[in-house]
Amino acid sequence: MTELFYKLALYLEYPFVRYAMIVGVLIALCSSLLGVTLVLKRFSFIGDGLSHVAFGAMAVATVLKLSDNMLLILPVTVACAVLLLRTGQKAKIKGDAAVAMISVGALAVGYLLMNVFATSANITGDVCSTLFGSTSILTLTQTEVFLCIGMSVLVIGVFILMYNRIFAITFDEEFAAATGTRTRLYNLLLAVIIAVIIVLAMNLVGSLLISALVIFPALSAMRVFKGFRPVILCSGAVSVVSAALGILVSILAGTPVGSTIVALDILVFGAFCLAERIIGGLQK
Amino acid sequence: MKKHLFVLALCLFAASILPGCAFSASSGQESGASADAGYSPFESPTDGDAEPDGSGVDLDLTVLSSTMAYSEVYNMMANPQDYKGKTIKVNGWYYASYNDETGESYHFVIVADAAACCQQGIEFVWNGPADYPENLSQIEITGVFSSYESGGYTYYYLAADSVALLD
Repeated sequence: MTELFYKLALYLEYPFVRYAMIVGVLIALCSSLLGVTLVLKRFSFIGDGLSHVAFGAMAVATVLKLSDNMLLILPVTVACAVLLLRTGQKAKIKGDAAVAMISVGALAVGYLLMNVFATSANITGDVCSTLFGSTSILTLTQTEVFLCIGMSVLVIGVFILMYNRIFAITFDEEFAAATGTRTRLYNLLLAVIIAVIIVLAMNLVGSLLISALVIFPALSAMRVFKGFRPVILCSGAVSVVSAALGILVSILAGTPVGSTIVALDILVFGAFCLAERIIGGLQK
Repeated sequence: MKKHLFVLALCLFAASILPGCAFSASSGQESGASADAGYSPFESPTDGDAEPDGSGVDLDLTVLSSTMAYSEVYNMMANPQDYKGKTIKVNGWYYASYNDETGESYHFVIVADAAACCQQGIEFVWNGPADYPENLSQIEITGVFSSYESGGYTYYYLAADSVALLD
């Protein structure tokens, strides 16, 4: 045990581990805040779809040899987020079909482009790193860390400022529209925030595992709490603790960061399901 | 309120498209490439002048988990100047390649991440008594992180003091 703590203390003295902890916790917090809204609006799978879009955009950016991939990834992901969130009511291709279509389409085209126009000798490594995060979170530069912190603070700030309106459009969008809330505008804002979080979270858990970061903390909190605010607070706490513990476990045990975090999220979800049953049993 | 919303959305978008937060698909990183990490990895207990075991090793990657070791090697490749002159101990797979143009063989120790999909190779040169090991042997190297110029590029390698075969 002492050896474990010594090792942990040693690892925490590495700047890149401290950066990973800061960025990981902030991304986890952002994704869990929006996760509750997405789950309640039945958009759980949208994160997965958008992350695949981000993967496709990244492949195109790599092929085009853009010096900064974000110049392409973020606008494309935001555009798709807006499209997906707006196609809910009037589109010919309805919600889940649209998400599935864009998701697999972007994934396939991205992988195809990376193979046909290979810019690196290790395509498998590049794809693995992007899909599963690999050690991306442990290889961030200082500039990337500061930008991630800035964007996370903005996302959290927007969520706090718009809390009441997000609450309104989450539970009853039509009623909110009838009472004068500009639902389209707030949905657009929501789409931008979701896209930003997805792109940020690709560094932490990779594009295939982002959905877990969005939905598991929210679903865990919903097992025990019923109010919007308690669920949000609990979801945030669960997500932050899972991300921090996941990063620590992965560096100590030498496991992949993203999948370790998601595995912890699943464990917490199981524990909350158990707690729900116990609480339910006690109340009968 | 509408204006307020647009300003916030604009801020989010503008912040996002600034350089950074890009993906660190590290396997394609070339030796000598410089990133803007802006920190020294030797702020840690691995600091060179006071080795706890008196072995003369500044950075011992063999005591780190695979995830940590890979990340540190990535940083070595991204910011080689920070590591130059340091004595480094590393273990991994040995791999040799022959270049037809230069007529020389190059020797690497390959360090993989936890999933083994991302790998970083560190070139090393050894003038020891024994031959280089067989390809894909598990080896442990101790050497000084150095550089050489070739074809207008700077390449970084380990000038190995010892190369040991691991079981």
